[in-house]
Amino acid sequence: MSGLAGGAAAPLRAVDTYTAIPDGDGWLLCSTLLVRGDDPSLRGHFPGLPVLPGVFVVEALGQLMRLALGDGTGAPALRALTSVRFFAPLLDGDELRLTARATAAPGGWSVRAEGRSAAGTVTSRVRAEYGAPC
Amino acid sequence: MREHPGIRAVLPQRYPMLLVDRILELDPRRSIRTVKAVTATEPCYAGLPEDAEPWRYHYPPALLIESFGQSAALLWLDGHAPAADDGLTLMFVGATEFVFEGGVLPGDVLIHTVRLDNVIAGTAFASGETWAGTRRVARVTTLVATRRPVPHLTGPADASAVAAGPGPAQRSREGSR
Repeated sequence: MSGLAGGAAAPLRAVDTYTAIPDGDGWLLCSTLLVRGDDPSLRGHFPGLPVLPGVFVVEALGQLMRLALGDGTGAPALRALTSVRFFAPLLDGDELRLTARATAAPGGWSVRAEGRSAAGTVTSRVRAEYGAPC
Repeated sequence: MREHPGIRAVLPQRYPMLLVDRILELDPRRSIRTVKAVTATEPCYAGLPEDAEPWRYHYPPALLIESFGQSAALLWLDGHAPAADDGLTLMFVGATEFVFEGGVLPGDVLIHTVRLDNVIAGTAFASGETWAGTRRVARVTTLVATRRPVPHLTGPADASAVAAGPGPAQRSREGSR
């Protein structure tokens, strides 16, 4: 139920499938996550009304980075969320479709990501910096 | 100081996503100091293998953000539960410059210090820091929260309907404050 995607402590496995394609000086990353209302975390967020917590988009991006670009030492770890915006919640049965472009930066990666629902609605945007674990 | 029952009375999250343990200080509409104790029995550690390296025990940043956000919600709501029948749910809608400066491990007791900087048209803007003992482990320049309608049992196809921002009910509620 928790933990193993990317190998670090985690509130849930936030990546069901992913792809990683080299793209110039970086990578184009994509992942999917089915929103499961019976996930233990969603039972508490909220009781009777499972909504994917916005921060789980951050968790999904972190797991995607670690799965695709991880080196086994904890990098890339989230060092800064430059900007994150959540436009719409994802409910039970919907899907988080995350696309991210990771660009090599000093000490790690600069990432721009966008989350969409199964219907294609943009639900979140993230700009973040990843590097060695602090 | 306010203990856990007072927090449960205000926040809708429940185990394992209710991530504030105690309110140390609450200066209404200005600032709050809260506690979140991280222990090895948290569900996020359940899946780790026996031979997991130390870095794998770092408390997930996403949960630290959620804990900070819930502390901001407690500040904004002033320790009082919102009206149960207005159909609005307090939502974390964004943040700017949330910087992680140190790892958090089981045994660390996080202290969140949150300042409410502004409330504009039903949207709250907060800033603050998170400490583990004498170590500052995170800081945030702006965290944004608002209260949105969440459609009950309408399914994902309607989810975009809540993206349009504050609805009439929220505007009138905020306007009456």
